[in-house]
Amino acid sequence: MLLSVYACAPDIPHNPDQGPVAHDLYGCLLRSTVPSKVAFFVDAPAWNRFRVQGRGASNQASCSLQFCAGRNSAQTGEVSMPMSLESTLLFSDTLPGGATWSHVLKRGTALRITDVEGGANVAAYFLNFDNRSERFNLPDTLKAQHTARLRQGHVLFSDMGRVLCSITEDTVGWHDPIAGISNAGLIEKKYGKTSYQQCRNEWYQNARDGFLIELGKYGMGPRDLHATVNFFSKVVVDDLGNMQYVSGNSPAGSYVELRAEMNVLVLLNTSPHPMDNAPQYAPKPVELSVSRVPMPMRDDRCRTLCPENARGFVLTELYFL
Amino acid sequence: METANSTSSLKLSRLTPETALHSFTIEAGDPFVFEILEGQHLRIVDLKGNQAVDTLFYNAKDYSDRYSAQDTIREQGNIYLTTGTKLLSTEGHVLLEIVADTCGRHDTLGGACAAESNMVRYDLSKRSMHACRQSFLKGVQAWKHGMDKSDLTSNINFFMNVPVTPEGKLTFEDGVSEAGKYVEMRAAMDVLMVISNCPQLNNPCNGYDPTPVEVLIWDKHV
Repeated sequence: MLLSVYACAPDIPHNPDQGPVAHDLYGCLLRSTVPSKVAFFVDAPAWNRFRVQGRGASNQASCSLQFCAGRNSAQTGEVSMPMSLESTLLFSDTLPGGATWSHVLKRGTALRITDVEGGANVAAYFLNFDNRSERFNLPDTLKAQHTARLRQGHVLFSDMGRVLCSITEDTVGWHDPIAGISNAGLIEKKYGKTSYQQCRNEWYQNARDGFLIELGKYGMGPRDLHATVNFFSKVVVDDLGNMQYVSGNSPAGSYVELRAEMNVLVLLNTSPHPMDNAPQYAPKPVELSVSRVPMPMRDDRCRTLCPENARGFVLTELYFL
Repeated sequence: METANSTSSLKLSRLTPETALHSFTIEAGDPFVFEILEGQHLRIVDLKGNQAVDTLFYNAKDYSDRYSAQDTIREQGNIYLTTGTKLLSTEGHVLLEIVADTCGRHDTLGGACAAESNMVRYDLSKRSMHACRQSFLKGVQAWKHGMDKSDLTSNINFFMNVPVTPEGKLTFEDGVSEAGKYVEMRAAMDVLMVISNCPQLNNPCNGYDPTPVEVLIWDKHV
């Protein structure tokens, strides 16, 4: 979240068109920082009320600000932000359909994936960047949380009993962890054969090849690619065990946010879900944004979801002692 | 509706133990690593009942091409393994096919227990209890060929019952197996098998009493 400070005269409503007028001491647009206090000054001595506003995120909020005595002609002050506001957008980018992306998501930051158009599928895989033999373990994740679907409050466990990422925000409610990823044979069988020579970058890509190439950039290979998850997609299982893909699971604007609990190498691929029954190869783009976010407190939703998660956070915190 | 898990999946084998080429008894808590050649039949027998047999398979010519739980269940459209299931590798090869099954349902979503996952699931004090991934590591380290933790992927749990509900809940239930039940596979290529006969004492996957299992192997032309 981008946090801006507006200054306004007493009893005069703030006019958003004026934009932010406060700057931090380095002359930049004021942004939230860790720890939760920021200093600012405003070059408008007659004004004695300020408004702090969070922008660009779901937890939009505003809080009032203590006025502090001026120094020279400038007003200076300090604002204590509620923890929910303490979030800074670091960067954002768009990942086209059929593409692969990786990033070392640092502990204390979060990745938000937004399904801009609706109907996206994002295959994802996670490793501890500082010890790459520790990686996402799908069965441990499912059985610890007694679930075969992922949603807000769930965490992604490594094979070492630690939490790689927590699903802190989620507007979808069902992400598929069981159906795996597409491969070259599956894509060709469903959509036909393409070549780069003929189609250039419109060629049909698949998640397995994308992940293997991306892992190769970090010195890893096929032995390092274990079970994955699919964000925004839904596969239900009936009483006999039959699996069924459910289309239309993710409307436009849906998002999921992953908070890194260690330095996590995140790999994403936007190829079609392997059970998607659409006849055309038309993978959707997603928007990616990384923010600095508060560390999980005692009452954190993911930590308190179940006793298993609480123990997973303890083991993760032990790792950083 | 005919499905892979109707009672029709129960199928007896025509093979008799007397004609087997190899016979091994694996005690609970032990690893077992063995190569099975293309065309050979492999039978795993739940001698005392309710015993989870955590199993991994690899292409014997290339261990980086290995059993894939996600590809196997997706391609057959069903999360349970039984007669007719083709066990697929990460590169799309059929490693083995289940040709007989007197149990009817085997799990491949529940994974293998570990010291670390026991700490998460039950209590931090469970660290020192024996677990499948201890056995898996011991087994692949003894087998050598450069195998290590990277080779421990999502496994099969023969005789284990891990139902998923239509609402997406996953639970560990009492086993559906009984003493003498077995599952039999035909190797479609040369494969390496790595077994951990599960030592878990914290949940009902072994009926809280881990017991030995038997592995039988018949030659191709028996």
